Amino acid sequence: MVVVPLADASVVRDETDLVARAQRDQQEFALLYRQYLPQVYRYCYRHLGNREAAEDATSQVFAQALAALTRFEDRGGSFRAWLFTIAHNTVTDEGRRRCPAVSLDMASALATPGPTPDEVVIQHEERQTIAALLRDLSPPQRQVLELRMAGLTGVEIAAVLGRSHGAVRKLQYRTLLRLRDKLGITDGQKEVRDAS
Amino acid sequence: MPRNGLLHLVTSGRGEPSALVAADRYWDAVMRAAPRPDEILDPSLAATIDQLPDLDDAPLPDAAFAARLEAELFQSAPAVRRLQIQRRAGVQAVRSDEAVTVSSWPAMTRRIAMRLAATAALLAIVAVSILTALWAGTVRVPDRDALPLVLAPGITDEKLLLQARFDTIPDGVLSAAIRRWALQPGAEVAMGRPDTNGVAAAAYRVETGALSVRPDGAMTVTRADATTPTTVPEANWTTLLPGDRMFIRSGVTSLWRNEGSHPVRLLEATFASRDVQPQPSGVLAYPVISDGPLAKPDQPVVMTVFEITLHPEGELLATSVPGLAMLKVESGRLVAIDVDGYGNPLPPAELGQATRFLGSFPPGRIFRSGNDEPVSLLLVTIADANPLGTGA
Repeated sequence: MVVVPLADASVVRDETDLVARAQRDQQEFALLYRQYLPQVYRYCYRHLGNREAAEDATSQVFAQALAALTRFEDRGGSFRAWLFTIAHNTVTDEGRRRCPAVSLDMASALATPGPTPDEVVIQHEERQTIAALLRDLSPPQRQVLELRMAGLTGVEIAAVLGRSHGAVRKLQYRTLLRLRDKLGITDGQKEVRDAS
Repeated sequence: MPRNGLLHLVTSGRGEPSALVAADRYWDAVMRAAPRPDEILDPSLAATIDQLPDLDDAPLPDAAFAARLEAELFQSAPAVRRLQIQRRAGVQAVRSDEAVTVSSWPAMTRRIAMRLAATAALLAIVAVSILTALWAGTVRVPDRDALPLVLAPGITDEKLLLQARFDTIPDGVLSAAIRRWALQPGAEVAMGRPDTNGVAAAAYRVETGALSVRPDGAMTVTRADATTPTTVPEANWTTLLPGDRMFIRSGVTSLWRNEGSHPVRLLEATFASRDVQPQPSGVLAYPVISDGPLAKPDQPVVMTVFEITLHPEGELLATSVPGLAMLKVESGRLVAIDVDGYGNPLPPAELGQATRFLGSFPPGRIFRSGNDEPVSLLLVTIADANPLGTGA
């Protein structure tokens, strides 16, 4: 029986050694798999929005990572950034495939009237979730928040997105401002949270 | 404290606004569950960061899924993908136990016979196409009519869509990418630039419409009814029609224009170093299938894209296609059938919504239609351009 710990765990202490061992013996990759499965799966889920798609994408990510592991080179970038580069490309491709472009004519034909009262209630309840917040962000802002929620640092996000760290800082700052407004957070709330 | 975070931007010693740095470090600390840094961050932004983990409702993976995936990853044979670089184009990866199984003709089932026939035919197709590419140099697509019209029982309608030899591949994180481009009438786009499709070499096949192209360096074009590529000189306009192929070298930019009244659609094969960027109005690019990240190959490679139809009575043995790197279901329903450690077939695995397979071709895996309908498949192979291993 295969036992897989599903709780989020902190970064492997000696990840470099673990990766090197996995490159020599693929069975050793199991430790990395167990370490990162929750993060990768939840990252895929946040982007794709349902379990089936997330499982599909997660399978692809780890299959690709395992196949390409011998080509991973530790050049100062983390294994996690490398793994999430694969995950990012996978969910991006999968997202495009699942949401084909709809022409404006088609979009207008598909347009529906405003939300029903029930939908308004649901929308109100959803407002305080990451999924709802992600829907209100621009694609680049979504990417940053999704990778942040996956536990990546600013440097790692820059590596995944192929952008400079400075560019990511600016982007995530704008993301933060938008999130703050969406959440309606004020300085007073911060003080209350600190006090509690 | 100012309510608007933008008012809090103060340039730090390194030239970056301190608020950006502070937010970055604070967020890093929260993600690592580490002590908060000393930098002063707008409390409302700090509260926003603090609150985000509590709002995350993404579920953990199902335990059964986690166990199943781990079993699939680690109980299967060692990875056979090897970055799809097939050293010898004419050698088929047939398992030794399979060869033993077919030693007695009376015991050979019709299914195995069909599999072997399909294997032999596919081998011939790929080998011939690779050798043709080598003979032609940078790019050449054999005339479709020169290929057999029927591959084997159960596999028909093969169509060699694109084939190109890549001598120069850019550095950096790469992906082998098959993409489609669409230009509406009147649309125009500058290609071969970092802000469009990148600077890597690429091969194209026009699927619909008429595309006008003006390269700023020499490029090669193979007409639909020809087998020999011709060179289009720098700064000359040429029009490509359905079935025409072109190869544009790395570093050569070109201007594309749809001067007709119908949309133009192209298939692209390339080694991309980044995602396709947003395109000008009237131009659409989207991935068909891609595989990455990949290390830069050590030697020139040949990428081949072809299409087949897999009928309900047919089977495709994954390892029978040398250098098979990617498989995409264009239409139909596909199932994969693996073998256990004794070579016995396991129950067909429904593939759900997955339509793409990247390097997931373990020995013995066969693909078959999941119902009574044919399946249209796109196959991408990547092979060493020097099949005899004589060096680049």
